[in-house]
Amino acid sequence: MKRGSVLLLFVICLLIFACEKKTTIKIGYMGPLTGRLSDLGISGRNGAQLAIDHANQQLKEQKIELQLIAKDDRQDVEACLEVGQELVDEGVRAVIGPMTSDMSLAVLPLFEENGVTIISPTASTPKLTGLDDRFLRVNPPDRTEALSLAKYAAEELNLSHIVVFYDISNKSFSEGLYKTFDAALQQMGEIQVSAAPYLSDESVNFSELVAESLQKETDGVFLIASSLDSAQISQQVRKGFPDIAILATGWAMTDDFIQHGGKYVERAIFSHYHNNNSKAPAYIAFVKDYEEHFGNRPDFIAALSYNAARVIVEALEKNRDMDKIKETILQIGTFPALQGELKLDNAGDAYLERHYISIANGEYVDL
Amino acid sequence: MKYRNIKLNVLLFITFFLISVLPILIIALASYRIIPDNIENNAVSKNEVIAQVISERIQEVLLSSQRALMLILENSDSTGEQLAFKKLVRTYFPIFSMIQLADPNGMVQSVYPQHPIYLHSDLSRQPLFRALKKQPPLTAHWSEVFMFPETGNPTITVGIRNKSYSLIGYIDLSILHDIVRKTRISPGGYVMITDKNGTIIAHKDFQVVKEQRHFDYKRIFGNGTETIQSSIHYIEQRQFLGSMVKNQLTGWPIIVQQPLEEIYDVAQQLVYTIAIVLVAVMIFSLMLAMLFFVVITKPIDRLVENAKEIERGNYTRSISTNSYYEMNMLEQSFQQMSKAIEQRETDLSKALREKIILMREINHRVKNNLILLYSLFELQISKSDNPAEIETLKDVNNRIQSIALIHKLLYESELYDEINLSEFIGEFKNLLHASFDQFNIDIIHYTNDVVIDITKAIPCGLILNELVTNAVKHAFCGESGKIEITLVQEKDLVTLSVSDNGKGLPDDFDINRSDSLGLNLVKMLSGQIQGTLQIDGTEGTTFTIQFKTGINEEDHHR
Repeated sequence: MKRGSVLLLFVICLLIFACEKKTTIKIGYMGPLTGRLSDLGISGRNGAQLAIDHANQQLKEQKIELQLIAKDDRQDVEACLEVGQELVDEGVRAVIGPMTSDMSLAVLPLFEENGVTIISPTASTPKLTGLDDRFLRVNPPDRTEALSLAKYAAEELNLSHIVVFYDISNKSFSEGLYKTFDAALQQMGEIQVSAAPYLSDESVNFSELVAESLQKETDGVFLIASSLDSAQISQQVRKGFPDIAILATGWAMTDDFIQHGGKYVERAIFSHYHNNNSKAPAYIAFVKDYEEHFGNRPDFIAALSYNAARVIVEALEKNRDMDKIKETILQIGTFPALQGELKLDNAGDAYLERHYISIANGEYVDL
Repeated sequence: MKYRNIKLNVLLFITFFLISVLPILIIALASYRIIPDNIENNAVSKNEVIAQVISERIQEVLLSSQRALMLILENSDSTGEQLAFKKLVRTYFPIFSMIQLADPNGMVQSVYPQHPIYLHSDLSRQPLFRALKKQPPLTAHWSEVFMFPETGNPTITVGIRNKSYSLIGYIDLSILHDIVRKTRISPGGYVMITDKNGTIIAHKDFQVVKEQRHFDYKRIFGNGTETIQSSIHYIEQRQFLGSMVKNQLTGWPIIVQQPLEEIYDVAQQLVYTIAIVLVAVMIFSLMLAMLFFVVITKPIDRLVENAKEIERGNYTRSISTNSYYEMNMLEQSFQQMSKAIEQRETDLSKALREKIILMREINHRVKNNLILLYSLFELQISKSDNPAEIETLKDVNNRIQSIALIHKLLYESELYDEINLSEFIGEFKNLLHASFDQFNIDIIHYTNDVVIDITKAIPCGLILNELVTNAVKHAFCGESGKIEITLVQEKDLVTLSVSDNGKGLPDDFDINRSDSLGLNLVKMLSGQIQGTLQIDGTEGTTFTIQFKTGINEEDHHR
């Protein structure tokens, strides 16, 4: 009788084990999947999707499946809040994105209210730096980028008159960066900085914008815009001023910038923490997988998005409670990333070392 | 054999099941095996044809664009900035969203429609221009699909160059959206087109295209060289049958997706129909079996019931003849047989009654005659002075009395072929007491109920009379004494013993040499009933006779 009971218990346990259901965990993604900033959104989504695919292979034995729900915020506050609510309604507790600072600031209150944690790959506004909120990021705040480029403009290029073109569709990022850049240069000496804000949409006319903004004494431009906008502005700028110096943010540092910019973007300067030529094994494997999967070389946006997704996966492996994901991430602190370790501080901000990058013969090269 | 225990209704149901349900079941199973395959094959063929037709349509559009561009190139002058270019692009413009004319270094010299951003832009770093430069003159090069910033639509370029310049036409692929949107597959089915990398460039939901969603067609259909592939796969927990045709010009897979449940809808309907038919046939079979069961077994049950009634002697039950022919005939025969048996029993009962009356009369007359004889002998005894004669007559009278008692019992009983010997002994003892009341002898008996055949009744009665009479007369010499009559039966063997506590027998007593009439009668009658006689004269005298009842056990119980 006793032996029979044990056998029965064993069979029941076996059945329960065999019938254990696969747990699906939804991970959100928000970014501009359409419109002029879609390169940012698409790269970010593809990088996140690749990380989720890799994680699903890894978590298969634990019967956990991650599902990426990608939403298009169209770089529009109203649309952003709408898709944010959709993610909340679908039970999402962690979101990769938004990809821009404006959208991050817009959607954060909604996510705070509903206990959704943001891990942004690219939003770098200093307005969200050092806060105990549900906004975490895997890129450093943009202040360091502005300071670094200002230093290069003043000390290496000896520029005297710089026009800053910045896209106000991502004003929180672009205007803040412009102001930091301006303030830094004012401190360094008598360098004149003038602003050329514009709204990136279908009606934008860069030739007119450039003609109106550039002056005879202008010897440098600083582009705070997407890769496509930056490429087109660069073309218009260098058609009239072939030797003008071009400084650009990491936002523009994709293949599109070179392809659409052509010879006009040669010698453009970036200050970035991402190394396109990194030999780190994880990065090389990522590039290979990405190319096989999507047919093109990943940019830094895809890599950051991959890192953001990996942060979530690492946290999940430690604690499956998605309501505690923020606490788990901050508790872990240091994560393996594609190009080395990624460290997050107590406020969920990442700090990465920057270096200068330029374009030579249509390639990104370290300076 | 076991099958004999199977109930008729079960047997009928199994028979009906086997001859009605089983063939349908076999046909249904065979159909279910074959039909889904055919349905699937038909769906695959249909979807592949749709994909093929769409592919050909795309090819036609793209090749016509290529021919248009070639026409422009052929009709332009060598400087590049030509009137013909502008005139011709107006003619062919609906196909192109933009046409650029670039010098060999990739600098855009002319743009139609006019667009300052693209005029004098540098295409040299763009993959499309790089590939075009490697292409032989006057051969077309098709670029990868990209999202054209001006339209936000997927776009492909076709480029043709001569020695002086290159023409690059931008074709807005939203035309593909119109093609896939208008293609009807099934309510849940749809067509989509991806580029070589799997980025969706045409879909019924244009948002999917705008968001450049990825469809991993290589994982589903393989990355082989086959231009036509079909596969069953899951998309968001839903199973689809997908057919893919690769466009030969661009390498784009044209994928026709159809939810499997919609394809198998016909098969599902078939399953439902088969299930309903099966249930109906089973119910019908059951009802038919029950009907047959009732038609066959009800008359049989009635016959069985009637047979039992006949067994109980009731011949008056009517039998309905509302059944099938054979059963009606059987019932009629049964009824005739029942009537014949009833008639025969009536006749036999009548004959038996007559026989009983006769037997009773005979026994009555025999008893009366024996009593008459007894009375005559008593009269003779009363007139005789000869003690020896009186003694002899008394002996005879005792014998007559015993025989008369047997006849009395037979007359009084309902049975005429057997007699209860113990009952006889009880009444016989009373008679003996009356006959020998002058002797101080106690006669007691120990008997069980022993029934013996009538043929053995009178000899037994006479044996008992002789033995008791002999004991009374000779055993006690005028003194008091006790006579015990014991009657026991073991199986069919009866042991009758008469013992006294008298003086016993002389040592040299031999019944074979005895001249006593009584003992000779005992010996003779014992032989007549095939019994064995034993005599023990050591302590008193004990005569023991063992014989068989002569009654058949089965008859007795019956």
